[in-house]
Amino acid sequence: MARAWQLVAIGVVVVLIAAVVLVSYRATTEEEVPPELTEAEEWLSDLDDLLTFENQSYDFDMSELYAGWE
Amino acid sequence: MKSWLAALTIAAMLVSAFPVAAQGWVEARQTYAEAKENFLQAYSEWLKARADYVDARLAWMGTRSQADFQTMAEKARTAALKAADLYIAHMRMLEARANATRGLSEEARDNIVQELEGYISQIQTYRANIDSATIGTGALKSANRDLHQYWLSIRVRLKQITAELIVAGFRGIVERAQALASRVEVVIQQLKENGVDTSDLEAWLDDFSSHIELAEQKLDNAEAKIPQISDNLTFRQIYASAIQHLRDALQYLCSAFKDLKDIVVSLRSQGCTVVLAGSGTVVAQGSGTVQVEGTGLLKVTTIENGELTVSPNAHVKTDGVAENLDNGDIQYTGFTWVRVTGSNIRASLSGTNMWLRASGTGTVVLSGTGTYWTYGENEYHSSSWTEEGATVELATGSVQGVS
Repeated sequence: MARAWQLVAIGVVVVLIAAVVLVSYRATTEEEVPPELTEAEEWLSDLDDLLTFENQSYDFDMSELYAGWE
Repeated sequence: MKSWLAALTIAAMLVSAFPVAAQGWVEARQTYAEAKENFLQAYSEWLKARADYVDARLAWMGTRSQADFQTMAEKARTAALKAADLYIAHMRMLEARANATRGLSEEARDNIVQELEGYISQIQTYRANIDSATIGTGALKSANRDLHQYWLSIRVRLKQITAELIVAGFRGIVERAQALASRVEVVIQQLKENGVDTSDLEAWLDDFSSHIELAEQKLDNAEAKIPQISDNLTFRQIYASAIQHLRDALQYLCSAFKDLKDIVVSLRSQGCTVVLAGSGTVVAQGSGTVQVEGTGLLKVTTIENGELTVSPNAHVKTDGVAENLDNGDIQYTGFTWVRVTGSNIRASLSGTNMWLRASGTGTVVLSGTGTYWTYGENEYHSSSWTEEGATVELATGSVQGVS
């Protein structure tokens, strides 16, 4: 029983260490990329969205509203 | 304790100052998103109103009764009003886009918004005519036709404006990339001068430059298409072709920024300080003198009768001839192109028919005749430069002494 608790405790410690390492790594990676480049990525993403939107065609034709009646 | 307080004060100033400038773009993007939603809503309502009209018209054609004619005519009126709303929503969306397009100069933006306001005003007049037209006299049919004819007369121009806005956004991001890269190039140059092996970094920088060059070629191709979007029959195809060029440019730009990111991350992992904040670009063409002071890159791609004097700490690449001056400065003559980089450098350039770009941080004074475009962190301008001189603050893109 005591051995089982030891294994659980070791497991918890391992998980905690892994979490700390992961968080620390992510924080370091994020710090390395300056905000100016992150901002540029958002800008590129916005242009991508714009191209996708503007590549669609919309039907503005209203000729049938005055042809063939009155 | 005092240093902590000072650091906290500076940090608070930076945190409070940066978002104020950037906040305007965030709000403009939000306004554009709302305008886009309004447009899509107007489009949906237009389609429904037109479908209702088509149903009513079928019913009238089956009975030819006066009551069904009245219903059909009212449905036609409703659909025409929805069409007018749709046209207006479309132009409001373009206005919002103009306000949200980083890289579009304030001067160009104002012209576009003013032009769109003129179209909107006309559409509103046609809308009012439809709203008040009497059924059975031919007035409604005529009012509907007038609105449609007006729309047909402006739709090609609206496509041109759309393409102009997208191209301006791309020009903005290209110049942003150039501004950031100029700061990185200076750091790499300093490392090299200190004996550090920078071959990998230089290879990345070359890769970045070729990606930017390819993006600019595609951008030029797209821009060349804009005046061609004038034929009423083929404007959609030409517009689509411009969009395709821009799609290609986007791919190259994404690659260029990945190169830049790799370089910056690599430099920082080596313990180098790379400051990108406060970077901007001015692009200018014309004849006269150009005084540059700051950190970054001055690149002249075309020049006649060129003469350049730089401070001793500047790094110069050119096809011209160098001469050391008594005060330590170096003078270059007989060149057709030149690249000057460095930290806290001075450069004085004169010549005719020049095309140049100054990127980084510092000031550029343009005196003579020509045109310039500034791309600051949050401000963009385009205008003429004259003998009186225009002083450009690279970081902000602001200009003093504009004639």
